[in-house]
Amino acid sequence: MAEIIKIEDIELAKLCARGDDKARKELYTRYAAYLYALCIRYVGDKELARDLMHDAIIKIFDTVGKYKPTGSLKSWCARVTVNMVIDHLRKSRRMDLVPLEHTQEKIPEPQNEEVAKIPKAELMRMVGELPETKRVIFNLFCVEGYSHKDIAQMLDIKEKTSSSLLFKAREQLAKNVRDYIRKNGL
Amino acid sequence: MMEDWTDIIGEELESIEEPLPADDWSVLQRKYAASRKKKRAALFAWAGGITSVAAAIALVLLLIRPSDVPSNDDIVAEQHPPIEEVVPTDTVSIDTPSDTSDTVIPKKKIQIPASVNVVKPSDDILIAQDNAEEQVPEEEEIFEVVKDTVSITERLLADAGNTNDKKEVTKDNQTDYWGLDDFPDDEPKRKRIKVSVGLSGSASASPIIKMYDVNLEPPQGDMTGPGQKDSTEVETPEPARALMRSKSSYTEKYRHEIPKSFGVSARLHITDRLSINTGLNYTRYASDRTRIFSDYTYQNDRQYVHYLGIPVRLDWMIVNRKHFNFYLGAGIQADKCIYATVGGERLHEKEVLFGLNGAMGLQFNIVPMVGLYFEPDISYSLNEGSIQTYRSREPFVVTVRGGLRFNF
Repeated sequence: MAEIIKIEDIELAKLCARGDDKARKELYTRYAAYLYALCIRYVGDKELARDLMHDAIIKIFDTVGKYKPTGSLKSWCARVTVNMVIDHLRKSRRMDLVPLEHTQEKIPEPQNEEVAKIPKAELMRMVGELPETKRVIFNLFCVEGYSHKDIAQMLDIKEKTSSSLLFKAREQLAKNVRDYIRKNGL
Repeated sequence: MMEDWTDIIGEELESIEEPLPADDWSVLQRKYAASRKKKRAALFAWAGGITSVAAAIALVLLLIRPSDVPSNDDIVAEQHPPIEEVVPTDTVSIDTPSDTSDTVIPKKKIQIPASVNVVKPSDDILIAQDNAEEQVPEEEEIFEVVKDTVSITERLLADAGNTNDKKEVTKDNQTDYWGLDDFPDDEPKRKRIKVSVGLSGSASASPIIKMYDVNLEPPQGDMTGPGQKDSTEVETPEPARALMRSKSSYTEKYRHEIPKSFGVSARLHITDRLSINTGLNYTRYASDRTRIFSDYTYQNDRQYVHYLGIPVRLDWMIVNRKHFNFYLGAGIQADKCIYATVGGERLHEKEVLFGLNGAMGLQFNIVPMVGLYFEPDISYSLNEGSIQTYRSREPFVVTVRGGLRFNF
């Protein structure tokens, strides 16, 4: 196991593709907790997130031979997992993908310094409290770094729908963040 | 470029890791093993499907292909080229015995075209490959030779073309010079499609049978009999204490009965010996399920699972007599659960079950159209499914089928 821990992503991917159990365990040890957190961010429910993470890792084991070292193995695994989660949400028809009208009311956005003081777990909770569709688009855009064009393709929606849903997600999250700051006197 | 407040949230969330339960890796391993098993089953299903399609294509090709036996016109034309072409460069000499023809020809070596299709020479025809000895002396003799060649050809055809019924072709060479009378014009040039339809019933047993897979002696109190359909819970003599105990954990025990099956099948004859057998089989699995709770109470339920299956099998006829056939076959069967209940509650089984089977059959043809058959077969289940049945306990099952087969 000691040798496996030292090896690079591409070597690990090759060993996993060959069916090496130690390599698979190492891949799991390296990325499972991260992928689990990623799934929780998207679906909110921990049990469902764990199932989806397992499905994603099984898919990663089966397709890791396709990994190209243009990016990190972690990013590649995250991409596989995001696709799996999106696929699940689309199939379960849980996302309401209708464009929203922008409201006239302007909610004051929090300052960067204020946001930086909030613990990660609280941020996770606030994002988790967003409605499903807004949460997914917020994660795709702000965390994974996909463009509205990519998101539109992934969710089969218009770019405008994606941007309007993100706007709503930001509004709601800003309100939650400000409430937290006010309550905790940050 | 100035960061947005959501970028800070994004960076924070991107680095978060959520601790997993300690047994998560073993759970994942189990799921992975199940997923691989499912994929293997799907692969077998595809292989079975592709084999069936390939068999169907082979069957179609076989049916649309012209017969290997050339038509009479072809044979006559081939055997009787113009006289001046009778002496080819490449010849086969045949030593004709004097009694094979009633024409008056001295026993001698003669020439016939090499194109004569010598499939199976009979004992009284000797083939020698000595081209040097033969000469064609006279034109008259050539006519005699041609006549005799027709006679030989007929004999060869009788040997080659009628191997099934072994009928002797008797030919009077004097009646028709070209021998055309012997070949009816309406002889079919294509093979006939033969189809058999069967009705069968069967009973199964495992070669490593264990009907009672657990000891069902109740720890205390009475136990409901296996035939009882209603769920019955029997408490310990201390009901108050028993109620206080947790019923969250229990073990399940099953007693499986011999499955009962019946179905219809169709057999498509590709050749005289090779055939494809397919159809629809209904199978009912009945079991008694006993749940033994941690407080030593138990609950009996009757379970019924109904499957519909489609077998595809290739059969090879070993013995093919008028009143008796013996054949061997191998194939694949897909079974889909159509209805399942336990203690009156519905069970759902989405998985399609696949199995390999090999069969040995005996058929007694009572009349040419109707045959009585017995068909012991052994099948191996490739996947178990989620519902516990006789099949999931014993992957190898021997089934004895019996039924009627109607031949068309």
